Amino acid sequence: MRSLPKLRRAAILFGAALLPLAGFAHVRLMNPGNGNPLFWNDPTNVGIVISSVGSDNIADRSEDTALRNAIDAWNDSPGQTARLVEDTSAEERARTDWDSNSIHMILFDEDNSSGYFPGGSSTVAITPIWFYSTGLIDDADILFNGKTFSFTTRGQAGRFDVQDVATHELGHLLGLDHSGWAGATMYPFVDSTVILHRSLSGDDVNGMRGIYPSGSFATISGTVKRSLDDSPVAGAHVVVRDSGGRTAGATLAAANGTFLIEGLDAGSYELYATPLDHPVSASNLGSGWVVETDFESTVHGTVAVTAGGTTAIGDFLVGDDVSVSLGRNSDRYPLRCQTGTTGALLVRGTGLVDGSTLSASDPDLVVTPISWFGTQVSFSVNVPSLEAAGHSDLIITDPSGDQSILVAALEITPPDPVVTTVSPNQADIGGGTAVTLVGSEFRAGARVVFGGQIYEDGAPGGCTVVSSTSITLTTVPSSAGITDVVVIDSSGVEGRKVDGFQFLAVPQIATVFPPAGDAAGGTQVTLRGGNFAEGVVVRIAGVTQSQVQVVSSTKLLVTTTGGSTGGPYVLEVENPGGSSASSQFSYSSLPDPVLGSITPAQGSVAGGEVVTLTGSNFTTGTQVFFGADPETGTGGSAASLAVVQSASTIEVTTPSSSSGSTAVLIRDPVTGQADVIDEAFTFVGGGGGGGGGCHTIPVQGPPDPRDIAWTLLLLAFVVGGLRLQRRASIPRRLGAG
Amino acid sequence: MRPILLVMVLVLGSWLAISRGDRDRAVDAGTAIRLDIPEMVECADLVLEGRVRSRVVERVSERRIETKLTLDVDRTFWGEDRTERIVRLPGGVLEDHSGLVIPGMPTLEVGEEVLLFLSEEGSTGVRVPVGLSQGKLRVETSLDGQRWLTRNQGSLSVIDPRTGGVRCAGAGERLDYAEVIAEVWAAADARRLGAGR
Repeated sequence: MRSLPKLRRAAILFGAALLPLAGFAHVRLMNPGNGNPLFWNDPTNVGIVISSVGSDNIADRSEDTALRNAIDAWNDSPGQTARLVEDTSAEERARTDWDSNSIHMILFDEDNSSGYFPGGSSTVAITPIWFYSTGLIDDADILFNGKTFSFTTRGQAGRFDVQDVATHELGHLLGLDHSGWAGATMYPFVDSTVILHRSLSGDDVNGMRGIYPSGSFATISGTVKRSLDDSPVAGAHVVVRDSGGRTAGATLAAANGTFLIEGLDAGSYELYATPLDHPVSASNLGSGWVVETDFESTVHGTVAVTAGGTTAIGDFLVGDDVSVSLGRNSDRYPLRCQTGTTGALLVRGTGLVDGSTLSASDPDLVVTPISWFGTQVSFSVNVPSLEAAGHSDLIITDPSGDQSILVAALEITPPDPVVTTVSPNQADIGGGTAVTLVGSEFRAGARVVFGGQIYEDGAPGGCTVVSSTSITLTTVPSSAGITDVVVIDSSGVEGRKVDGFQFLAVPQIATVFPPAGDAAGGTQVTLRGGNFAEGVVVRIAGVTQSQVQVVSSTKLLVTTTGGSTGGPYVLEVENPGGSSASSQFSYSSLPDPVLGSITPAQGSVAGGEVVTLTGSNFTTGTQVFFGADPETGTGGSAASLAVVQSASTIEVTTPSSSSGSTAVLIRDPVTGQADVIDEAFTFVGGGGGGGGGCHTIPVQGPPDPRDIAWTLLLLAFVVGGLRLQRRASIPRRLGAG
Repeated sequence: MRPILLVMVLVLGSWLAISRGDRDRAVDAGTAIRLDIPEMVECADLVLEGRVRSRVVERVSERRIETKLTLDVDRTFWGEDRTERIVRLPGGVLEDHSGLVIPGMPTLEVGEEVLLFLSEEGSTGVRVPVGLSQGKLRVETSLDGQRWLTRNQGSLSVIDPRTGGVRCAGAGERLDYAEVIAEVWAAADARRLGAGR
């Protein structure tokens, strides 16, 4: 036993030699060959490419925006210089040589082509990092295991949140190892139910400040030693809380017990050390760390630091090991505590016995134990409604006064945003449409994600959080399709309006029917095409048509307002946002023909039967078609003989046709004016035309009585002379048009 | 031997062993799902207990480094029973100290006794510990023969400055050896029964 002090010295020297660079803020990835921490040579421009292949679980390509949000989380981290710069070129995104050091890629490996996800690996995602002996990173890529796991951007059960996982992996890519904070993005475990790693914790931010500082921050230094014998504690998790009791920074002590907590803002902090044993342990760190856990969570006291200064506290003595221990990796961390609510939670551990006290480091949070079970404790946490977001430690003190601290276990978040309405809920893909989101719990710093785009509060081209109930934005060019509208809070929580918006492509006009109408207006025109949006504007000869009905994205009904006789004029369809398509329309001095009824309304498929069309405004030369498309006016068979008896009566001989109901169309071949009645005539098999089968379909109002009388007067003559007229092929016979 | 010489020899020997190992050790990180022992047995293609006899890091292609481990197998809980296994894990550090690190991937040291839960062999012949670091449990034996398991990187043992004994780094996740082994056997039996074998 005489040799103990020498052994101790030897151990300290030994550890110190092994880990010459330990003691950085946060926990850095290291070159296991020599302990050099990993870093990017030019952190201000770390290129990143999102593979264009995407995830086969996500149809709307929203994984791209989720990944960009994850990138932004690190880029927006204050006090550091690292910037992930996305290359969005199609050529780079299409590359498949992800492991080349000329590209740093994020991709979903759907078939284990990488070889990193063999069956049973249970690995959700990995970040292979190539490095030189100096620790300089040569290449890093992020691979999602799409073969085994499913991913989501919309909270689907049993799937992993793309943004949550990506934010964690990007931390590795930048050089961070796992964190001992239960609420950190770099916490080593992920659950499909947790999305809170999307937002960085103070430990993550300090980690970046430690590696890539952009300014001068405060530092606390010291040496962790055992109070029992002054021996150094290797790998002690040394943590500070701010004056509000919020977890603010951390580090791991070096093998000789020395530590530096860097990246701190000026202020006063409560300093403590706690064993890195549960739920995060040395097993979750890269190799090279010496982590001793045989001591008690011990609070040193308050330490004041000034901007850019270092406060050395000297020796920090920690108590002997205790049996009480809070937190296990089977728990799901962080434990969300929503402002303005009281939530029930559970934590596992040992020595969790009745008579203990459980509290939060933030005194504003009211922790009330419910049941002590020895290996777990259930409790409630009440969070005042105005509490800021952040992390608080959970602290247990057993009846003997022994203490265990679960670092940053409680994540205080605001309530989820709620998106109630989106107005308008359609726009064309061209962008430029002003959109207003109405809901609740909107907060500054929010991001709106829809249509494959991110609208960040206050950013150029972003959104504006007008109030807690309103967000406005102007759409940017987007891909066509129906999309969720998502508001993501800066804390990572989100609200979603499922299928809340539709981006429509540039409108297309396929047909305009009829292509001409009465100059006095009132012509009902059917436009067929695509991508017609609510709020579409139709203009003829520059005149906006006041009566436009959007039947569907492929059909518009326009009742013309009229215009000057002539044409063809430009008929323009413009979606909200400005994209447009054009066709033609003419105005005629004649009134539109109106087809009233067909008598009889049924005839043989063989054709050759005479039927009478009644209506108004028939003109000499009016064409009649059976079976035309009632919405486009195309197709159909011309009546083999049409005799315009008067402006209100036409007698025609039916063409042959297949059986079934067909439309009957009349058209002025000169002006193009037309009218149609759908299913106005039925062709039946077996030649059963006239006689008792006769009936009339009244349509478009009753025919003029004078016309009926005139029709009846001429009917006998027409029917009797029908064959003769056919042979003579009189000039009034009409062509097929 | 005088105590100071004993310490120096011990430290030097450890240093050499570790520094040699460090040259070609893979590092870790990543995201894995959390698994208990039965779940790891269920996922694994190979579950064994053994000792690492040798380890070689190889650049198998321009952009791929693997660590080839030769294991003396004490017993196989799941998979074909063999006395020796060669296992290839992704990543590692080459002799020039450059390398490939995969955060979360556990490392294995020469001489280390381990309980391993391994995935199937991928197309390149590489296996991955089930759940990354969760798939490796280090078997520790005290001077009095008592055994336990630790879930850590297993890279370092340090001399306990108070007792003079060897203390494992990261001993926080110390698991009862007999209990875990029983769990593994039970889970393997259940899997066999479930598979109708």
